Amino acid sequence: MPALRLDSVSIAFNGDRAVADLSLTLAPGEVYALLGPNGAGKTTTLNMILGFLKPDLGSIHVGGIDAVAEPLAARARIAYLPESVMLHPGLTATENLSYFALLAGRRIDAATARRLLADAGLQDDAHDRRAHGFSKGMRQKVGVAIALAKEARLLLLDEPTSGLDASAANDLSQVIRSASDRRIAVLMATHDLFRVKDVAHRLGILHAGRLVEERDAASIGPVELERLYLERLAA
Amino acid sequence: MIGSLVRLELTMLRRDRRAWWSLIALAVLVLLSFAAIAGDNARSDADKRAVAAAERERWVGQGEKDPHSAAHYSIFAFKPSPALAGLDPGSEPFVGQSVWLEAHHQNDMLYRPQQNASLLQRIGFASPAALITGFGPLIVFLLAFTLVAQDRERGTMRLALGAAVHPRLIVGSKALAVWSAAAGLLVLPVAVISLLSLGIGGRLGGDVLLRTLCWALAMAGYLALLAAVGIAVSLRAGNARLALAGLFGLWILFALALPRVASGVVDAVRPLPSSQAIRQQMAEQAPAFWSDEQNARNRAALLKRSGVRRIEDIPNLRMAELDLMERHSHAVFDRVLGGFYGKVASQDELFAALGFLSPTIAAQASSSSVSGSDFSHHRHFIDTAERYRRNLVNAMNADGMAHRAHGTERHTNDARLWSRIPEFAYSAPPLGALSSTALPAFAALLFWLGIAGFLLVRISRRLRP
Repeated sequence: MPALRLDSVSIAFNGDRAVADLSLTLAPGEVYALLGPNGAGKTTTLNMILGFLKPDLGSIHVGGIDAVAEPLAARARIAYLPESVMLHPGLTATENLSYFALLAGRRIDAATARRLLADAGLQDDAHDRRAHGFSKGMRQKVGVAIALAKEARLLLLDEPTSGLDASAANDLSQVIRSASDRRIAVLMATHDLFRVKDVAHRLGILHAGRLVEERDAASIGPVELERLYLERLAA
Repeated sequence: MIGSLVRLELTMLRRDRRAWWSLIALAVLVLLSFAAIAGDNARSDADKRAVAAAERERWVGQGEKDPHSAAHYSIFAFKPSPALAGLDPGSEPFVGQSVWLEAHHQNDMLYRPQQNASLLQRIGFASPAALITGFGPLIVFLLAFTLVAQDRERGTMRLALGAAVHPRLIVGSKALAVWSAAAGLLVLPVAVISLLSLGIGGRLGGDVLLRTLCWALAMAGYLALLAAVGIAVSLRAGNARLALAGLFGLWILFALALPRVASGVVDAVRPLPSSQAIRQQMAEQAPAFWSDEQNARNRAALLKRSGVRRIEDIPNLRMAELDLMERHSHAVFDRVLGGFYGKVASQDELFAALGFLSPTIAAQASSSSVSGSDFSHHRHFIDTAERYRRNLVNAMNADGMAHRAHGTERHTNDARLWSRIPEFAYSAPPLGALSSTALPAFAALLFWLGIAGFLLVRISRRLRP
């Protein structure tokens, strides 16, 4: 059973097409990078998978569950990392992790929280610090730990490397590979062409709401990918 | 699970010092106002007991005299403070605390505690109930705003919704956190301290315990519905600024505007006659001196009642006439004053029913009712004191009528008769005995709780980042 299947999904806002006839399937452990410029429909696609938006047409299944008819049941199987992870500034990193894990129905002890934060790349001395002073990279790492704590079979990442330095982006790549090794499917919306080449198994280019190109990541080099991306956007 | 979430939400509240310190400040004011009122009441009750004992000695030691003169010499009755007046003095500061019980008159009650109001009371921080019902909404809305509207503004809600297995977990834990913080600091400490002080003062009985529990439940229920409304409005508003404006507007509407509007409506729909008009009616219907025609009718009635044909055969005509006048006045007082008190009670009932307009009205009405400090409880004292007065005067007159005395002759009696009159003692009615105001108020509180809960469930179902 695929971890995620979208069949001819379309949505429009006030008559403007945001996503049109989008179909894609992710197998367990597969990492799929949805590429596209701002406004291409990447985040809208994620919002539909999460049940925050209802598609006008088409169907979405998460682990076999109809995400349109049962958005909450589908969301229970999804871990989600937004573009900008905003934590509760008054809580420490471990408290934030405990809080969001509890919302996800998981009670985690302090040792597990520290391990998850360390796995996400957050330095030890930040675990018990309040989040109000955290950089974007640190918040992103806590967000990754929150996503991992949910132990979901599908990980949705919205522009995960946006604003991260090279080291933090590299840590995130490691996390994605590790998730993939544990047969967690990963759908990442991004316009970071070079980073995704490292981690994705498949790439899709979304332009004006349509999936205009789909390739195996291994079959295309970075220079060719950039050329293809620019060509598709210009078309 | 939900307990751990609430604990973390409370941690967030505590660490956001603005909202938390506002709550602490109100909690301190609640305790200070309780201490001030309870202290005043304790001193006042001790004074009343001391004066009541002196009054009893004066009554018993008044010496030998005509029993009707003794009825005029009479005695003061003192109203003890309601046990829960420290939590909600209700109408207590504005109604008298003692009454002069004498023949022919149902006197007004004297000494209003408001005359000696403390600085805290004069500047408006009147009582725990007034602070909780008046300022509670502001603080609860501030807490709700802190936990929800700022969350949405920051973007934390998006992460939470992405993580949560059900949005109601987010909404429920936030509402419970706001409620438990508010109820835990504003209601619980003052209720426990009130029980402790009543226990130390030897006034802690089953009824007091039950009343305190009902008061705490009413206030906690009020704060719960406010927490639900605060969370719902914060979630529904488009942004934090709108949420704050909406919540501030609701506080003004619930706690300031509607109670005043309701008071105006009550006065307009069920107006009270002036005290001057009441006095006039009583003077006309129960005059101090009868006309010759009325005297003739009275004497005819006395002859009939005594079963004799001649006035001279009535053993003590003067006493019999005074007794007739006294009993006539009772009927007048019941009709005129009873009607007036009935109108005041119906005003309270209408005000409580208007609790369906604002939860603050419902909370105010239920609080004073279960605290035993509303008008229905005050009237219970008035009626008890009046019954005592009538029994006393009737006993004096009966003693006079039982002893023959004509013309200027006077039958006299002494401490043997005076001491047969029991000391005046007053016990407040048990909870539930006077429920005409409490029932609509509690019904309105439940109605609001239902509305707020419905709002919260509905909004949690539609929750989007």
